[in-house]
Amino acid sequence: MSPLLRRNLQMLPGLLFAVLIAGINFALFPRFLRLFSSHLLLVMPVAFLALGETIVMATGEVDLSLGAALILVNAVSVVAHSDYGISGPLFLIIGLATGLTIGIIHGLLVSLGRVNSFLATVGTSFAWSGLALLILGEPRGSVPSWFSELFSTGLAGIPIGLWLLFGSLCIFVIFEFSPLAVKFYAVGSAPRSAFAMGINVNRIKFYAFLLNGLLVGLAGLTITGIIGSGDPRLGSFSTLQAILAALIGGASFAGGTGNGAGAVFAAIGLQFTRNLVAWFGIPHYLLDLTYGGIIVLLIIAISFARRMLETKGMKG
Amino acid sequence: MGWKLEHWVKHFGRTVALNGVNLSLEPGTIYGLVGPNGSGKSTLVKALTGLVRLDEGKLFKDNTQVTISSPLDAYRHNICAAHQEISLVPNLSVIDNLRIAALLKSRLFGLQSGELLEEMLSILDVFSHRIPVQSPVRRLGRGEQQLVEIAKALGARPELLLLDEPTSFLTERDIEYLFEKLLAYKASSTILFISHRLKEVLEVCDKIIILRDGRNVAEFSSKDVNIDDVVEIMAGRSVASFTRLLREPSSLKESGGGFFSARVRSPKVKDVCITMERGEIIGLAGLVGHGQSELLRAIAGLVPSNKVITLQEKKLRIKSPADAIRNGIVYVSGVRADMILPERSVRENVAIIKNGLQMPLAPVRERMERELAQTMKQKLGIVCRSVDEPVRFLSGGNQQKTVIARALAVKPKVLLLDDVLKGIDTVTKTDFYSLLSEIAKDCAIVFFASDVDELLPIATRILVMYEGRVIAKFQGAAMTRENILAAALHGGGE
Amino acid sequence: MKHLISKERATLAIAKYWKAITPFGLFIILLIIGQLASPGFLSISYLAHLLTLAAPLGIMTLGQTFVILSGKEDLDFSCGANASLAIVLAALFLRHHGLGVVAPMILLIGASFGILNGIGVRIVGVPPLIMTFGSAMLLYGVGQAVTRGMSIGTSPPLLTHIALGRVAGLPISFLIWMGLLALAAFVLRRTIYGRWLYAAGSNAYATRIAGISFAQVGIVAYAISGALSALAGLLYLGRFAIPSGFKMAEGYTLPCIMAVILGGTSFSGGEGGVLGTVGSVLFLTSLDTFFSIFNIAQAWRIVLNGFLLVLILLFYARRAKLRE
Repeated sequence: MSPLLRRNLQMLPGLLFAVLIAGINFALFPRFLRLFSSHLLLVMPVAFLALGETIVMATGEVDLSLGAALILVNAVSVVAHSDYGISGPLFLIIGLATGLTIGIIHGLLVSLGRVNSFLATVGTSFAWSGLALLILGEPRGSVPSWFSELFSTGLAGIPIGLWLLFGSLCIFVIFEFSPLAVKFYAVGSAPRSAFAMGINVNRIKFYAFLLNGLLVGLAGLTITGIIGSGDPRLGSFSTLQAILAALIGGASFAGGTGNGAGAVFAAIGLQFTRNLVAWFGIPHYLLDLTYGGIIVLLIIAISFARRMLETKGMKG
Repeated sequence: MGWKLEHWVKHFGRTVALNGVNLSLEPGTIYGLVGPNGSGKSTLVKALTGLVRLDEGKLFKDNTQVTISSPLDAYRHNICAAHQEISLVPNLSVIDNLRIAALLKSRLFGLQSGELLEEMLSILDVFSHRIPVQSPVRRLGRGEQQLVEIAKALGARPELLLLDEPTSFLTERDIEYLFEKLLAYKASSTILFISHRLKEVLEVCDKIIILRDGRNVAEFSSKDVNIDDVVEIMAGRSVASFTRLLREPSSLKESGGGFFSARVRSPKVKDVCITMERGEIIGLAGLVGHGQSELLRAIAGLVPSNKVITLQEKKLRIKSPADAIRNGIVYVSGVRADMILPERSVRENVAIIKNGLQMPLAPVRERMERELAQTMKQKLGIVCRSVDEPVRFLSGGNQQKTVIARALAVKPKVLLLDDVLKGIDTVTKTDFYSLLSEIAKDCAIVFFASDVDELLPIATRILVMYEGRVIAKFQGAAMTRENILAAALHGGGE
Repeated sequence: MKHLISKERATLAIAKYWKAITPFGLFIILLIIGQLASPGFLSISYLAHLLTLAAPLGIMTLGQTFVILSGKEDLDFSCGANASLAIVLAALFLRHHGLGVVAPMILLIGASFGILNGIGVRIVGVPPLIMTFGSAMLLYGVGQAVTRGMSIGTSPPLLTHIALGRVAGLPISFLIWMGLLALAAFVLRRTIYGRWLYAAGSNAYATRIAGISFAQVGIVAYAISGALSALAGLLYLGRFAIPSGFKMAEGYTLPCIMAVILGGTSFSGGEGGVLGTVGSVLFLTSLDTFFSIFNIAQAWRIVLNGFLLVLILLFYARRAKLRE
C-alpha cells in the first residue's frame, strides 16, 4: 500500500469516531440536530489546534503550549479592541499575527536553537499564560460588534461553525497536496536521510511551527468570538484534547505520519463526548477530572494499540 | 579540468579523519578509493556532499574554487552520491523518495524534474529486480534499497559521481549491470568508487587511490597492481595473505554434535539444525535476509522461537538474552548502533555483559573493570586515549572491537557473530581471524558474514542458508567461493 | 607512563564534573547579586532558611534524575502530584497513627504509583510524558476524592520538627537530603544497578542484548522517583502544617525537571548524575526566594519561569547539528 494512500486512510478513525459520537448524541438528545452548528462552533478552536498539532507532529516535533497560546491570542485581541479601540479587519490581523509570532518564536527555538520541542513548548506555555495574565489581568473586555454578529448569525446565512469547519478542511487539503507535505513527513520519519537528500530540515520544521502558529491564531480568534470577551483561565484541556485528536488522526510522537482531516473530525468527536459525560450527572468539580482522565486513558489505549500493531508488523 | 582537493583536514573530536588529503581527479576516469577503516573514505564522500564541514581544505572544480556547505550546494556543483548508509526515507515510497530527489536536483542541475525522475526510474528498471515503486522503502530488501540509492545518484548524470560501498548487498548480475553503466557514464563525468572489495575495484576502475590514516599515500593505474600489493600498502606493513586458510579443516572429525546443538523454528527460520564440536567455527553464508541473523538471534533468546538447545549434553531453556548469556551463549551484532553505549566509557562498554551477570546491589569493582578493559585493549588492539574515554569518540572499527571484547570478557562457550566484520578493513580483519582461531579452541563459534570471503579463511564448515533453510553444507576442499555463491544464488546444491 | 595515564583521566574527570559545578556557580552568582541589590541579604539565617526550603525539592530531584537517566525520553511528570497526594494522605493518617507507621506507608504508596508509571512506560509502551502526566491526573483525582475539597488533618509536632528544625546549626531536612544524595550517588556510581541504569539510558537495545532487563531497570527508577517524591511530600506537610487542597505540590514538578537538566544530566539519558543537582536546586530555590523578596507579581513569575526553562534548554538540551 502506498504511503499516500495509507495517510489518507488515517482519516477514517477520526471520521468514524465523530460520526459515532454524533449519532449517540442525536439519539439521546433530539434537540441536538437543531443545535448542531453551535455545538460544532464550540469544537472549532480545538479542531484548529489539532490540525496545527498534526502538522507539527508530522515533522517529529510537538507543541505543548497550545492552550496557553490560545489564551494569549484571546487576551491580545480583546485588549486591542477594548483598550485601544481597534476594530475592523485589523482586529483579525492582530489575532493572526499574535499566533504567527508565537509560531515564529517556536520555529526559531526548534530550528536555529535546536532545542527539544516538547520541553521548550512547556517553557513557552508559561511565558504565554503569564503574558496573557499581565495583559488582561482578569476576565474582561469585549469584541467588535461585527465580529460577535458573525458568531451569532453567521455569514451569508450559513452558521459560522460550518464555515470554519469548511475552512479547516480547505487548509488541510491545500497542505496535504502541496509538494511541501512530503518533505514534512520525510523530515519527521527520517531526518538524517532527508538532510542527506538535500531537504533543509531546519527550515521545514520552522515552516511547520509557522503554520501551526497561524492555526493557533485562528483558534484564538474563534474562541474570542465564542465567548465575546477575554478570559485568562481558558483552555485547560485544549492542549491535551488537541494532542489526542492528532493521535486519533494518525499522528505519532515519533513523527512522519498524521492526517489533519482525521484530527479535525476526532476533535469533533471528543467535544461531543464531553457533552455525553456532562449528561451522566457527574458532580461539577469532578467533571474536569473525569473528562481529563478519559482523555489520558484514550491516549494510553492508542499508544498501546499502536505498539501492538507495530510489533505484529515486525515479527517474521 | 576536473576536480582538485587541496589539503583536506577534518577532526571529529580527537579522532583525525582526514589529515591532509590532496587529490586530482580527471574527468573521464573511474577512480577506486580504498583504504583501511578510519582512513577517511566515508568522511571524504560526506565532505563532498555537504554532510560534513571540513576544518581545512579547498575544493576546485575546473580550476575555480567552490565551497560546499550543504547537500544543496553539492547539487549545485553537479555532485551526486550513493551513500553507504542509504539516504532514503524508509517510510516514504520509492517513488516519493525519487520524486523529492528529482525535484531538488532538477532545479540546481537545470533539468526538468519530470525528465530526471524518468531517468532514475529507467535506470532502476535496468537492474535485475522488478522493484515495486509504490511500496515504502522499508519494505524493500537491503539490496533493492541500494539499487534505488544508486539509481537516484546515477539518474542525474552528475559531473562527479560518488559511490560509497555500492555493491555490498548486490547480486553478481546487478554488479555487472552497474559496472556496465559506469563504463558508459565515464566519458562525461568523474567517478569515485569506494569499496573494500578489492577484486571489484581492480576490475572496474582505471586508477586506484589508497588512503591510510587520513592521507592519500599512493595512486596507481589499476593494471599496474594486484590485490596483495594494495593490501600491503593499505596496511603499511607486510600482511599475511588473508586468502590463505588459517586452519586445517581436515584435522577435525565429522560433526558429532557433542558440544553444542541447536534446532530452531521461527517465523523466518524454517527448520534449521546445527550441531558442533568444541573448537569448530561454523560459517553461515547465503544472501542477506535469508534467516541467518534471525537464526543467531533466536538462539540468543532475542526473538521468540521454537527451539531445542543443547550445550555440553544439557538441555537449555532460553527465553531471553539473559538466559542465553547465563549459559555461556553470547550474541554479537555487527550493527554498531545496536551494540555500543556511546556516552559510556570503553571500560563500561567492555564490562557490561559481565556486569549484567551480577546482582543489582553488588558493588562495582572498578579496579577489575579497568584491568579487564586494559587486557582487552591490548589483545584486540583497540585504539583509544584511555579506557575511560567515551566510546563515541572511537572510530567505527575500534567501536566494533570494543563490542567483541565485551563478548570475550565473559568467556563464552558459544559465540554467535552476526556480520561483525562488515565495514572492518582488511588489516583489522586479519587480527580478528588470529584472535578467533585462538578463542575457538575453547568454544564453538557460529559466524554469519554477508561477504563469503570473510568466512573462508576461518570456517571449519560453511552452511548456506536460503529462505530460512540450510540448503548446502561445505567443508574441506569443496569449501570454495564459487560453490558457495552458486548455492546461495540458486537455492540448491551445485 | 603512569603519569600520562593519570593526566588523561584527570582531563576526562574534569570534563565530567564541569557540568556538575556550573549550576553551583550560578547559585553563588545569584547570592552575590542578591547581596549587591539588597545589602545584608546574605546572612546565616537566610542560608539556613534556604537549605530548609530547598531540601524537599532536592530530594524529589534525586528521584527524577534516576528516571531521566534511565532512557531516551524518560521523565517523571507526576512528582509534584505524588508529593501532593502524600501531603493529603499523611495528614489524614497522622490523626490516628504515629509517624513511624505512617511514613513508610506513604513511601510505599508513592513507590507503587511509581511502579505504575514504570509499567505503563516500559511494558505498555506509553510515551513517558503522557503516562506520567496521566498518573499525575490520577493522583490528583485520588487526592480530590479522599479530601472532597476539604482540608483534613495537620502536621504532628515531630514531623514539623524534622521539616523545620535544626541539629548542630544545620537544618534536619537538609541533612536528610544530603544523606539521600550520598546514597543516590553511591548507587549510581558504585553499584551494579547504577551500571545497568546508565547502560539502559545509553542504548536500550544493547542493554537487552547484554542480558539486562531494560524494563525492570526502568520500573525501579520510576519507583524510586515515586518514593522520593512522596518523602518530599512529607517534608512539605511538616513545613506547611496544614494541607490546603489536593494540588499543593503541583508547582514543584517543573522546577524538579529543570533542576535535573541544569544539574548536568542529559535529557536523552545515559549521561549525568546527582552531584550537580545540589547546585541547581539551590539556584532555583534561591531564585524563587528572590521573587518573594523583591515582590514580583505572580504573572511575571510565571513568565520568568518559562523563560528560564527555555534558557536552560538552549544551554543544555540542544539537538546535535545534522551537518557535522
